[in-house]
Amino acid sequence: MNENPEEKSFDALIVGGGLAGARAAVELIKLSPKSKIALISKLHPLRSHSVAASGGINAAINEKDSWKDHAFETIKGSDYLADQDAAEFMCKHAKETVFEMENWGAMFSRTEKKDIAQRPFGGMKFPRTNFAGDTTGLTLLHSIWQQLFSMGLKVFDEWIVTSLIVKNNNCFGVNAIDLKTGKMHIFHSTATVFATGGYGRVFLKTTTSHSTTGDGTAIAFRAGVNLKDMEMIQFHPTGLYHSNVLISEAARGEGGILLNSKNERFMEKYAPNYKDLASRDVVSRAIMTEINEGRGVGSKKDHVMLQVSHLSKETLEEKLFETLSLAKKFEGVDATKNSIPVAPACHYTMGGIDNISFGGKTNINGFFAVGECGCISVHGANRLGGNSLLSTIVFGKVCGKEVFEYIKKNKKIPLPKEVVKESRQKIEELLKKDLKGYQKPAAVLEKIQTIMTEHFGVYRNELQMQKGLKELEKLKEHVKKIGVKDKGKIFNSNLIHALEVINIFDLALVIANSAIKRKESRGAHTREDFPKRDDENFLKHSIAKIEGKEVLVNFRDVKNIGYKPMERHY
Amino acid sequence: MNTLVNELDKKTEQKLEEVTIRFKRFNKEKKDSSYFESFKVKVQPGMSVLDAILKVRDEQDESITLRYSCRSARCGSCAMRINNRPMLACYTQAGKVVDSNGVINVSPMGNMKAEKDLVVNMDKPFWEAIQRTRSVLVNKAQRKHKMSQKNAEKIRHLTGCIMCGVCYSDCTAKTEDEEFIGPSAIASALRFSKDERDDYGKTRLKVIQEEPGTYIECAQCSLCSYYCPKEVDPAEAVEDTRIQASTYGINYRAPPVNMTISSNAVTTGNIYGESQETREDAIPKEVRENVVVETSNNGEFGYFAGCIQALTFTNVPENVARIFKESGKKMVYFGKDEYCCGFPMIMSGQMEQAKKVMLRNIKVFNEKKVKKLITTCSKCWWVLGTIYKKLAKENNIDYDLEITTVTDFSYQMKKEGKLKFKKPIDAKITYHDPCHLVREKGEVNEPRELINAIDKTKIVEMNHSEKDGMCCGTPTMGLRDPEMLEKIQSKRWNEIEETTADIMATSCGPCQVAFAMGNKKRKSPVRIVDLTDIIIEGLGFTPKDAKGRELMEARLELMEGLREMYSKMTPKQQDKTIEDTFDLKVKNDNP
Repeated sequence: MNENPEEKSFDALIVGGGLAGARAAVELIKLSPKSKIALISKLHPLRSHSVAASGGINAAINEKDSWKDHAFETIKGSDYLADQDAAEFMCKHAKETVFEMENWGAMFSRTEKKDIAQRPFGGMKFPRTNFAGDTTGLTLLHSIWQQLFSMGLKVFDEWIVTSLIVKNNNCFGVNAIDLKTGKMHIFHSTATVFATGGYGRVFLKTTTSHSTTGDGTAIAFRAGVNLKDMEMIQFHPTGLYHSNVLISEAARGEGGILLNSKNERFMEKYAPNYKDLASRDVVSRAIMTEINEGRGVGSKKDHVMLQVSHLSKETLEEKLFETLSLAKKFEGVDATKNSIPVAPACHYTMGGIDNISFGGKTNINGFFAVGECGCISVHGANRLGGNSLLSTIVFGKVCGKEVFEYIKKNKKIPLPKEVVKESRQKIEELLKKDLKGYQKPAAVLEKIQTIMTEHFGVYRNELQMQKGLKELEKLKEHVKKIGVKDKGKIFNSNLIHALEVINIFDLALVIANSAIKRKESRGAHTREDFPKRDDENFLKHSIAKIEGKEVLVNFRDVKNIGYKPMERHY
Repeated sequence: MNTLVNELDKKTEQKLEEVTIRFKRFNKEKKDSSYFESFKVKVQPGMSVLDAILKVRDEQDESITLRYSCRSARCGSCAMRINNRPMLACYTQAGKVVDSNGVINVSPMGNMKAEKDLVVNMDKPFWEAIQRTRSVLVNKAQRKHKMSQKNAEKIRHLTGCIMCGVCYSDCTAKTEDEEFIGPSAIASALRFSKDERDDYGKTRLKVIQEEPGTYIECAQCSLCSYYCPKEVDPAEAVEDTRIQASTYGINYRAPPVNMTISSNAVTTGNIYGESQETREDAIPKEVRENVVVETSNNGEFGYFAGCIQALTFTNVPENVARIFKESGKKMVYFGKDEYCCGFPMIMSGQMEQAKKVMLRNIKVFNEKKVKKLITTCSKCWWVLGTIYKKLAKENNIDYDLEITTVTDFSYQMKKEGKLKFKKPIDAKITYHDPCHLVREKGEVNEPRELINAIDKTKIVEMNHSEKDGMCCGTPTMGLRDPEMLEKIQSKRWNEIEETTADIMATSCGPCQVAFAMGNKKRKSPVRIVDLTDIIIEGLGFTPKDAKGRELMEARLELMEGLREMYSKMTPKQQDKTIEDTFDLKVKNDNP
């Protein structure tokens, strides 16, 4: 790492090859085939976490359905924290998005009339979730990438971005390491897009991939980019008990039910109309209440059961094939006969980089964020199942357009060499750090995750959160001592792991600070000390920024275009 | 096909507290850095191999390097060899793969160069191959989002591919030719060609066929389908691709010798281009008596000998007749009416020619009223059972035959007490599992129990045996490139010799021919015999395999001569020679 970094120059650079990044790339190449565009990804793009999204993608494609209902239910689901214009925009463009994916080859399941099949999903009255078995994310990502492969995009896969180059509120690109050689490179670019995914790995129990460490979000934050609604973390009701592997909402969409230790279908009590298909925050809270009140299952009484065995053989084998095999594999349960042990686990992070336009603009010129790493916000305080795939593709496309406009209007500014050097030094220091008394990245990570899970879980309160924040502050010393044992150059995953843990730590601090500041209960953010929603003071986005080394949290009004906040009943 | 993942699902998990993970360590940066290193780690029930590896890495050695991400078999990152089998580490429970010493061996996938520990370079061998197949939906008409349920279900399993690379790791054709596009890429191309929304099917197949490493090179060994963690069944995809190509009228130009064999088979009925009457001589008159019947009246078996057995290893048909006689059963022997099963044509891309012989054979089976077929060749079994059924369905022909093997038949007869072994065979025997029979038919115990039932035999297993058995490399490969066959077979020969066996038995003529080709320079002393030879020896007869072997040597020399002749010609001359013989004779032939 001692050699001088190579410099590469592009008009636009996309970091992250999941659905949002890939869709933005397609749009950009279509609009501007002659521009120099590159995509960097920590993993091979087809390994991105988008492939894990299973249940489906929402769009009102049925004649009897309307995008307006979809928009209303999205806003209601968000507990009115979504920006209403953004939610409307997404739902209005949902139909064309799904049909575009269809034309690109996505393998949706079918109805007898040859149409795309739809299933009911949580928080929505109409069965609006278009699906491909229970591998919808996989087919969508493959379809977009098949387009990209045929377009000849320059892809730097297995490269990790270490910092964003920002000076005087302008973004110049990124510093990145080629994992295959260990060499550091500068990507000098007019526009830079982060599509780096969520930060689910902040929690101990999570359904998300090992790679969802919020790298982009943390890197941007350190470079002065604002973050929004970081306290809004979705806990999915049905993570497998031992492994936390996701059991898709499709299981309940197709008729699966949740049972407590008394074999009661407890959701009837919490959501008399929607029952097991209430929105995710409602179901996860209900499960935690059952567990807290002693009606959990097992020797530790710490989980509940998901029953699908009463469904028809056809439904199970054709529509819930993946659910059956995951239950069999990871819990040893034959779900056609027995119930599956499940418990809530972190699943999606509604918060992220503060977007100030639908195309992902931020407070830094030339820097965009899209997908789960951004926050437009359409999901507000609670995302509906089937809306994540939709938001990545709809806004990925808009992002491509806005980036195109940006690179057309703006010229590349020469690189501020001192900023580049500074960030390189940090990596070199990390690699050279004396291993005497060093902290292993994995050990520190587990500590962060334990604090976050214990103090910032489904139920939160001031006392607990303050305690958690103090513990995080104490952990700072450990984070400083994180060392890299592997001194090799090629595929130094030890170094990557260390960087990821540092990223996770920075985000944990932002989550803690934002959660403490929001003194109300809204969507996924449930406070025992403030059990009610407080629209007067908190119908607002929390905006976190870095000042010196402190995290500052302010609030900004939600965009309301006429959907009046009401009490949520399911 | 029953996949490895399916089989492990049925297995009960061992309850463990601790396992030893034995890593194959490697670092491209350092010289001589390939070594094995073991770590002990505490495990809980349900823990995956990936979890255990990450635990070792996090607690004991942070430099252990591997790819991983979703840990739920969706992202395809963590493919590696676990106990020598390519698998997804996240989708394999530690308690199901641990050996009796509490050890799990992990090493990088094969057919791709190792970079560091379990990380391999997938760029050229895998990702480039995928791109070469033009796997993108071409929907010129922008049809209005219509697709039938039937069509969707037909390709659903193909779209489940997560591109993990497991099917490339132990692929026989990939070992032979690193340009081979490979199972996943073929499945991916077929997925689009079968999609009713796609307008590019024919062109796509044509394009991929004109490039190096086309699907024709697949040895149909089916290891890919056995190991695939997502039940994509790439081997079947290759089968379908061959058929699909033919329906588009795409005929592949195979190397000249392979073309000659195909042409022989169509014109004369057998791959050697000899008189069909010769087939009648395979079973001597004295053995035929009270065994061979003209037509089946009581649901007797029909014996489909296969070209190699009927014309070269004639000991096999004789053995089969003896086995029937000893069992007190009767069979139809098709003799001169039996045409080549179609395998050589299928493998060299001449599907139209294959169809001709296949339809002719079906006619014969119907005329002789046969409902059950006995085969003595792994390829015949596969073609008669799989391709014929697909072909019959496509052409609305009635074809409802049970296809089995002489091994299976003998096993049943022994079980019923009709076959009794009398003579001991004092030998160490290893068994080479023919690909289709072991993985697709599931013939694992039958041959072994038969050998074991003979007094004094001792079975010794090769490193890769049963469903993990390696492919012989096929005579098709040997004809195309003898040196390549020798190269890939040397691994198998090492395994054979490591067993210190006196005899290697197998139940497939082509396997035996391939091994003879691959042993030409090596000259291993291990004797290769047909399993029926061992059976009849156990029954008290003397096998006549020496005669078969002599014939084979002569035929191989002939082929070698032919190959040399072609090699001296310019490609144009080659083409002309083939076209002349091919067109002329094909026209004359009217099956």
